[in-house]
Amino acid sequence: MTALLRIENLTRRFGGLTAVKNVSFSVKPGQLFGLIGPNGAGKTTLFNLVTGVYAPDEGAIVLGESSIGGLPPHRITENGIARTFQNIRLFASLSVLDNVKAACHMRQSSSLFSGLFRTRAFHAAEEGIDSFSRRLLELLHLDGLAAEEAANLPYGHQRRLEIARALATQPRLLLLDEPAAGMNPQESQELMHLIRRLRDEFHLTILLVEHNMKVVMGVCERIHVMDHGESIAEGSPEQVRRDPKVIEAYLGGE
Amino acid sequence: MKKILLVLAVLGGMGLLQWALTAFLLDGPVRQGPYYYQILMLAGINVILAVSLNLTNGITGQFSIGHAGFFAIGAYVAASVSVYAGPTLQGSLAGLPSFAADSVLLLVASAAGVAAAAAAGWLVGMPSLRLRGDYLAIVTLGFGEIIRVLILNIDAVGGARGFTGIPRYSNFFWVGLGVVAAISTVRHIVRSSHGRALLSIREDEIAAQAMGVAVTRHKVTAFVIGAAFAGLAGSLFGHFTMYLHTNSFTFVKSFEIIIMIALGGLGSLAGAALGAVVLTVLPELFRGFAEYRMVIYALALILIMIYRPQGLLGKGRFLGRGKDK
Repeated sequence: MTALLRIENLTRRFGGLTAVKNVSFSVKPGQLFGLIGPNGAGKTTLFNLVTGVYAPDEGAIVLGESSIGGLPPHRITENGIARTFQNIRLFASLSVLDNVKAACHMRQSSSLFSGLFRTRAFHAAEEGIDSFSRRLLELLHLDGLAAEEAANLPYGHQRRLEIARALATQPRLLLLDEPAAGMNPQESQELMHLIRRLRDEFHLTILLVEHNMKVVMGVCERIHVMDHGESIAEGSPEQVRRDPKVIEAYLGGE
Repeated sequence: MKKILLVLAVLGGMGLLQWALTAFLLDGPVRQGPYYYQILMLAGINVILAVSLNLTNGITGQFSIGHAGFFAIGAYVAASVSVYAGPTLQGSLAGLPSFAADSVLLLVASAAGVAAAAAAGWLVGMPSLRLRGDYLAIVTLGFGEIIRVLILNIDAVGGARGFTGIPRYSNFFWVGLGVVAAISTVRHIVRSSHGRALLSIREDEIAAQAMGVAVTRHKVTAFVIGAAFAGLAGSLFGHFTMYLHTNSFTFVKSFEIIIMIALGGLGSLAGAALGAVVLTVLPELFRGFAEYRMVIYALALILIMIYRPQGLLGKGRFLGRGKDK
């Protein structure tokens, strides 16, 4: 099976610091792929390269057949990558429903003009957006809160809303940036169920950056480990757990 | 069908209002009628300005302080069309009754004013909307002043003497239609997918972009539409006062419009309209101490910011909200 996402010899420097050095890996369709590493390993930089926040200095990022390295973020989303944010970035004063609806904008077809004159096409498009958004909220158990202001949701709900919003862009690949950050053990348990469910119900491929080892080891099928900007290991959770280089990176060597 | 009826009803209503206003205020029994009529006209023009600026500042969250610049472009371009091309056009419309001929001339002049203001909005918006926050504010402030100084130095439009001899084509009928057009345009935009995209930019630009919103393109679109309506307001203004001077278009005017929308509640459409009416009428009530107007403004703003930071109608009445149950 060909890879959905291929990272090839990716390098990004900030002045004298090479944050990501010659990193390569590939994610297969339908895979739950984890990216881990100690603080400062370059995970976030890599994440930002894939989502278009930074442009790579060297190397390529290929999604399906098309190269997306260096495209602006909204074009990358158009290509089928959606993301959540580590430090939640919801549209705080919009309603829960409108948060999801706003993310439907990219894939909707009615023009500004037809919106101005309230044409039939406009009403049809709005109805489509509305029912699609409500279905997403239902799937993430947020449907009772559709009219609530996003900022008023409890933390765990906000994380779920971020995922709902990302799904509204109809991605092929979902990038989760530390989704378990700040969650208690029970919440992260639920998160793991949710991640598996998302993959199965939406036929998604999921790339996960996470610090919480329990979540990563529990949910990911394949894990890529980085340290100091370089790849140091890749394999199944079992392989990675026993890899001496990984243990050294996390616990320090002799 | 329903839409056609609605348009006819609005046209008829405005026509009726115009007839009543003419009968009672202009030719009628009310003392100081023309004065009240003038306040009404200015309030309408200010509503157009406030509602259109609200699209940029309140809904898209791009703090622009150059709205008076677009207002000026619309006013001067439309007035120039009327003054310089008007006589020729008038000749070809000789067969029509005078009110119809006036209306056609106003529409032609306004179209030119709107187009010029929109074009200016695009030119200013393209580079400057890539900037954020303070920088955008500074650029738009600079733009407004540049326009004013530029006009001040064009002799064909009167320069520092002011532009005289503009025919009085606009009346409450047209201003009322302009108000309806501005409000319904902005309202329809906000309550559409494009409007949600604009709101998402205001809420969090980075997240909006990550959700696939082409941020710069949407900002420019909102800015151009806002500028176009400011141009329309300018055209209606010039064809009402029959005289234009750059003193009406200083940055103080831009701030006045900002205060209107802040007073009403940023992002609230009804608030912007209310703010515009209040800030047109209030100074008239305080005519006796007109030189303290700016002091009253400042005081009012400070008091609102302390006691009602979201504006008179801010939040709760916010558009696109409260509909979803």
